[in-house]
Amino acid sequence: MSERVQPYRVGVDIGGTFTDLVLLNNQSGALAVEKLLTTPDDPARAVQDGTRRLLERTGTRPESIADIIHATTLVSNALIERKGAKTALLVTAGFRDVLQCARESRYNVYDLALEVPEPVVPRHRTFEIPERILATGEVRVPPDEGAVRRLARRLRRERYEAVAVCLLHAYRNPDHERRVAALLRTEAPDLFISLSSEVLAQAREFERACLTAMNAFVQPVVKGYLARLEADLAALGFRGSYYMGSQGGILTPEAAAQFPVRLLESGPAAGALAAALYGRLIGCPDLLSFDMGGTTAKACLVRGGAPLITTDFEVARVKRFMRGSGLPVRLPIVDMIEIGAGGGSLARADALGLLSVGPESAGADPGPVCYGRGGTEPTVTDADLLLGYLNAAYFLGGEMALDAAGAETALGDLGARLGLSAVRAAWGIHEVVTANMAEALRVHAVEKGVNYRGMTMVAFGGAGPVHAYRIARILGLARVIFPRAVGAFSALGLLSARLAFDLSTSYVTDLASADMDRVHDLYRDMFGQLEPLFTKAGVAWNLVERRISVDMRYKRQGFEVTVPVPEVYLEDGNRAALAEAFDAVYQASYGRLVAGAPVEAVTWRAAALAPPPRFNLRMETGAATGDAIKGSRPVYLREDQGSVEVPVLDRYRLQPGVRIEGPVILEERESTIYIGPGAWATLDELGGVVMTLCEVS
Amino acid sequence: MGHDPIALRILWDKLISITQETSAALVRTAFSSVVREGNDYAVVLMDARGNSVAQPWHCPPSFLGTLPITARHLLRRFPPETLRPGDSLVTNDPWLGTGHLPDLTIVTPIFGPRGELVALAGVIAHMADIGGIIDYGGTREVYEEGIRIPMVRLAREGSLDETVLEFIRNNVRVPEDVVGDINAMLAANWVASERVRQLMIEERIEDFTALADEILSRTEGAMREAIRAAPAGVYASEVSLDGLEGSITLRVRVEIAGDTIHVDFAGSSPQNHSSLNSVISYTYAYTAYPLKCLLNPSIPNNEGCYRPITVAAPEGCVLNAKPPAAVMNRNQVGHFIPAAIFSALAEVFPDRVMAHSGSTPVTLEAFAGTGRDGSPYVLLVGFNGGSGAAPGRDGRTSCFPSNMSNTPAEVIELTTPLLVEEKVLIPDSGGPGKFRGGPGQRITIRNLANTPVLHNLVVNRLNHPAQGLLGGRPGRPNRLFLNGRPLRQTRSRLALRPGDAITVEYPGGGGLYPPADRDRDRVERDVRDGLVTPRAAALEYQWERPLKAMPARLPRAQQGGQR
Repeated sequence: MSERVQPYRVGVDIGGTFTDLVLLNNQSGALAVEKLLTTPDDPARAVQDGTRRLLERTGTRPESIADIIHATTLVSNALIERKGAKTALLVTAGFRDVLQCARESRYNVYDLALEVPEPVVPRHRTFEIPERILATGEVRVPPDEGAVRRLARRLRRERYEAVAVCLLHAYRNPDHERRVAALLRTEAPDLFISLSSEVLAQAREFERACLTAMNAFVQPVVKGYLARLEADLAALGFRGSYYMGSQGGILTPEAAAQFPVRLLESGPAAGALAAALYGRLIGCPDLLSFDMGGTTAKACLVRGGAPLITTDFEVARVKRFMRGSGLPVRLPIVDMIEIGAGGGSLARADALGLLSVGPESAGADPGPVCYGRGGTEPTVTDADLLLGYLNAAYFLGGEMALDAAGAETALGDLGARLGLSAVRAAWGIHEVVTANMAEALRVHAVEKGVNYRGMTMVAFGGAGPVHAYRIARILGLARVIFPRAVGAFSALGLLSARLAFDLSTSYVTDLASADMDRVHDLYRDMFGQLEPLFTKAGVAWNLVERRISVDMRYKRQGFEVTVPVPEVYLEDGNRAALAEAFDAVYQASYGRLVAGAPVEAVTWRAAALAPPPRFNLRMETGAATGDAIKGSRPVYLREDQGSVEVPVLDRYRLQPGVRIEGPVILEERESTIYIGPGAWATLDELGGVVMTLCEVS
Repeated sequence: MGHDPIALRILWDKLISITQETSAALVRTAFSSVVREGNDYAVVLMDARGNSVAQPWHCPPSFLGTLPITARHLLRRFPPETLRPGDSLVTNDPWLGTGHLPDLTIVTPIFGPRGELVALAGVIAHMADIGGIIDYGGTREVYEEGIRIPMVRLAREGSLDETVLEFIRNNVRVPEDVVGDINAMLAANWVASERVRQLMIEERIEDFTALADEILSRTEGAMREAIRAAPAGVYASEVSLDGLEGSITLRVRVEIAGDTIHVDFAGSSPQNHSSLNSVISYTYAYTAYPLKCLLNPSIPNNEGCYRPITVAAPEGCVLNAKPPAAVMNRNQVGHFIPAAIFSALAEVFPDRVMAHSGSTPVTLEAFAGTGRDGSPYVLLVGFNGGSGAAPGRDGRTSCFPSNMSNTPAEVIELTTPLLVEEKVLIPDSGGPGKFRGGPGQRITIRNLANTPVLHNLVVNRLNHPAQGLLGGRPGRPNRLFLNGRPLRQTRSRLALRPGDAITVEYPGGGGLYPPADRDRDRVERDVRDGLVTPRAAALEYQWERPLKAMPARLPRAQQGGQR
């Protein structure tokens, strides 16, 4: 990642349908984009093909490329589709059913035949190890080494590919897990091994075992993929591959191969990073990132130029919007919330006689009714078409003709069940999805203590620019930016990510009597472990930004609040300042403090971030020539106005310095931007369309 | 002014999301593990009259049903015009709501943007201790079971009433946990109040009551329609359970007539001299709950679901006990009501009912001892047996009809000097059926401290295993062991000496439909997973083909493959 005489950088986002690539010349700021179909059987192939095309098209030599950064949905998909390795789970004797039982409760008490996610490792592949460590870290029973050896040989014989080891209290004392790993390596050297004390060093055995099992389950797949990719890229003359991590930082190939769960959601996270980058480039560090595609709409809050992070994520939910219906991932992950089901969401009349939209989606096949591929139930896209927001003749730049009559019939049927006209039903769908997304965003912002009023939104994805105006109105946002090259926008975000690692240490202590020398030592140790990761990657340690936070709670509570603290508090041993920082975070979240209750520090976190990559981005602003006005069409704006004739412009022909009053439609190949009444559009220095909103009286 | 179907949908979803946020605030700020790990709490958003309007999807149905009842009692005691912003009301009187003393109900009035009372935030949480004797089953009057807090104003215009708190502190074994949880409950209601106020401003809601009425009448209409679609008639059943003075029988008569349902428990056992007695509010909650599951599971629950359902139980019977009956273990009785209703309606809804659950009733185990730091602790944990099989779905090891989560072994060991020695599923414990009952599990907990620990629980299903329905077979009954020796009583209250270990084998759930109809793949998967032994598979499912490479004895072979 260091600055060498290699001006080029490549970002690759391997999505479910498309693989997007960007090539950036960091000296000139010139950007080239490539998009091709993902090759699911061997995702490396599309990357290789795309990279070769980019190089050829731009006449770039592979040696002049400094690094190539990947994001992938491979890990999420492997978990959702359960396409992973033959995996064994090794647990403490007496706890074979840790995954089967999970937490034993129900996420919806009214569904008698409740569906729950299948454990990643089935019961017959879970094995018990005679050993025991206590909560204090003391050893009660040392591991039975003979038993471990015999088990290892059995796993080899039965052709297991991966092993997850999750022993009780290993977050406190990892010795037994390490010993078991050493024995496994001796007896069965080909096994991939994941230790819970390394994957997630936190108390609560189900959540830790679950994540460790997921890591093991995908490890051989991911490692094989990474190895092929590295080999292919090396054959092309590249060095310097990195991977986007779930938390928005960059991982080395070694870290990615060892902890593939840290790649979860790296694709969507890249979109949020791209929005953050865009914000930084235009001097807007706080914004909302909004990405609405065909099957999902995701949002993320960006604060101070970086996306927010959560540790409360679920993967592979069986009920999309039901909290608790997925497998828990207690790792730091870019806080992408799924706020809606995308353009393919199906609309229905429910048992209450109310309109309901999603979470079921028509997906890409059969897709919305208007795709003419056999879909019969109306979707958000069908509604958008009937309302005039989409152009039946210019979808994907005209490559795909839409069946407007079919959409109208389907919407008419739905309307009849609700006692509404087809258009009114379509408007209802548009309103409900938009309002639901706005509400989900609002709740999210409020939970995070962010005042969203007056904020800027960056909207992308195929359907995002259609719905952004109305969300902005509901939330009272000041402006919405529609960047250029929305198709490869996420890939661009990859190039803005920083090389980053984080570590945490569990030291549970009353804050009032915390041994600050010990705290000082544990941070020295953590940063000592982090340093070589950067120097190995060519980043001088004195350029690395260090961040510290402490998870604290009232003593006897079970959950902590993460309190960021300046490093100087620790250097001074300033316990009172730590307590004050805790009070401030707690009061803001819960409206009160617990008088007289002692505060306890639980987890001490250290993060290290390389300097942000120097970024020189000059989006092509030279507009295509010719008249931007393409014509006009009726668009349904509001129930009290009905359909109004609205001008349609070609986004690519907008000239710098223009100001276009809404209502207006701006068409581009991959999306349609809707600028509503009372808003106006201009172009920014990067070629993005900026919609500014003002109050409608 | 009515909302159209679109606007109403949007506002309704928002109210539900507020309750989810409220419950997250409670869990994250709670002190005792029974709330934060065990899920033994509920939050409900009510209108100013005490009608439930919105709630999360995961809280125990009992509390969701009793909270509005308690709120209406509180409103009669503290009329709306006497309430001020920052006030909160509390009670734990069993006969005013949840049916036993450990559950505190706190209701906080919510004031709108113009300063008028618009709604109520309600929260219930099970306290780690409420005083009294720790003697599940053994109490004979409510006075032995702890402090009975009348309806009082807990907070007045933002300040906690120190007198009330002192009374509580002086009567409980772990005052820090109890007062900590009261603070968490107030934090939850604060979050609910803030969000409702914000919503009213942002959505320009002038009249919250009118909005509530629309939600309730829509729900009520859907519920009545579902009842009308069910075949009218009178359906009866009875179930028996282990009491401390012999079996207790619940007799139920469900009358579906037009768009209403009336449930009568006449003929059920009289109230008894143990703590296994339910009160009418609790009985009501667990009667309405299974009916909602059968009739209209997907619509959000609120007062509208309750209105078409009436419940009667003769005063003085085990489901409508009179004070001063002991009621600590009212769940040991009330949790059987859904099973009785499923039995009564099995032929009416053969494709909807659930077989009886081994996790009925919830068994709360109490451990009271001295922690590693020398301070007293009271640990309440609820582990679960197997749930009953449902159409298309095998039972799991999961709570029903309540919704307790297990407490992680690591959390138990971090907070007490106890050792969770094993927590494993029991082969052949789930009742056979086309859909199999959920497996029971064996849990052994050992006292590692050098001081004795009081262990107390009441188990059920020693003599009355969970029944299968419509041809399904019963699950395995409950068993109890001290240091490996069987204990034959349903009630255990003993001092675990240093090194002693208590084992509970939680019962399996009942099966649904005849086992002969079970899919062969499912039988084989169960055998491979060791949940059903080859012998039982042959016996119950006529399964013959031995699996290739089947270890001779699977469970032992797991111990690192010694054999």
